[in-house]
Amino acid sequence: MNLNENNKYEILDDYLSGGMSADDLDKFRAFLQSDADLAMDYQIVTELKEAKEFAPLEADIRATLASIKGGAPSATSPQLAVSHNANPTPISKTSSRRFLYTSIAMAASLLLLIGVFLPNMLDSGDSYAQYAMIEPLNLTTKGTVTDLTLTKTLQEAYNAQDYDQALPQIEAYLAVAPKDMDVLLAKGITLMELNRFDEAHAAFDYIKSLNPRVKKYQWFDAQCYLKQGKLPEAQSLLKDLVASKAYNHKQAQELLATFE
Amino acid sequence: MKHSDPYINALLTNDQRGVKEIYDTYLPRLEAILGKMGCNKDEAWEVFQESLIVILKKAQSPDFQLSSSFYTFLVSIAKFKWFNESKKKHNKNVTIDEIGTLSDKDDILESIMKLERFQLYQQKLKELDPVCQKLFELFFEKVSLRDIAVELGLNTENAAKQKKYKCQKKLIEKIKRDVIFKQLL
Repeated sequence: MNLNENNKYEILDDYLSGGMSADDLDKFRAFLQSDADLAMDYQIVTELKEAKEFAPLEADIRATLASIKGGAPSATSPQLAVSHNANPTPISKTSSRRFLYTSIAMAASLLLLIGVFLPNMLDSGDSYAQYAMIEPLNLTTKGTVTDLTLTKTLQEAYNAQDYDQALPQIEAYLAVAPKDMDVLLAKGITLMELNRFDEAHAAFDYIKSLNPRVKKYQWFDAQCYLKQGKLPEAQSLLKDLVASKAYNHKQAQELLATFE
Repeated sequence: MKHSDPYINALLTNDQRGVKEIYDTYLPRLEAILGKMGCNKDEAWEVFQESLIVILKKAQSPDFQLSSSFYTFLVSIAKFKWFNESKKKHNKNVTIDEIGTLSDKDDILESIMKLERFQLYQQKLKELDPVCQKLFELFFEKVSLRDIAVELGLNTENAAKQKKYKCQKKLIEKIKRDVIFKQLL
């Protein structure tokens, strides 16, 4: 085994994924014992994975504590209080996550909630408002379109949730780069936010026709149906996300649970 | 995962009633104890919160056992945590008299350090360029390298793999260069 600066992460990956031969395994373990720098890299890579796995649990507890500290209505009664003889009634992970997502969504976009979502915050629209977290667009680093002014104005308008302004910029961008998946997705989301639902679904369908394997569009297509109040259609798409363990499948599962 | 101690179980299941009970019962006591060590109420709240996170992390381990009462455990962690915080914030040491009540297995300091390293990793991830951030986000969501390649506009699965190694290298270098990381080892 020839371990050097250029291939050490590849070899580390092989080791962690269990894809190493017995001979290489012994050699690599010997390297780990003798090379403090490699041992530190190994520690960071394994702890990073652990940190990522722990993050949702940590976020749940922090959200619960924040809600308690913030004076949220208490569910505690002397009979229900935790004691060594009591059976605590767990709050569902869904509920706490819903609280977390609501908090994040509210903090990130109060304007979005009151300006755009309010007319739709009835029935399934509530679920839409809680779960439709829209990621900012990062186009400047991609360099797909060389017109930097267009790239910048599109990005600024979209990230400021100024969808009326963003849409013509998106169309102009797609005229140059018609298969840019990020911008195609942004187009679907923008149309959804503008309540142009049929066009939004068509945009998501187009993404599907280009690349059915990457199902991020499907999450937003489901959100679009939710915003329209079309629960069965949304459920069908969400169930497929869960079944295929695709983008946001955990959130899809949680969202589905709230419908039951 | 169910634990025999109801408070530990409340944390593990994120049971709001149970967590509220911990908050109501122990935060005032902790404020009083830490107050004598120069900790104000806001700081005590932070320490309380972080201590519960340490307990949650430790309790996740299948072989976790409480070697004392929940209260003793919480107070001990909180004291260690405050000891660390006061060193960082105020550059002064406080005396801890609780060490003797804990088992060696509790290795509280190591758990505190580990969680602080976790926070540092998250912070360093956010300092990466957007492409690397997105790559890691997808990677930790267990999206396949083939799909990551498509998402990032890379030509092949192998290109995504190489990009991942480059991003990993950048991240690890950032972490190792941080002076705080060395203090957390």
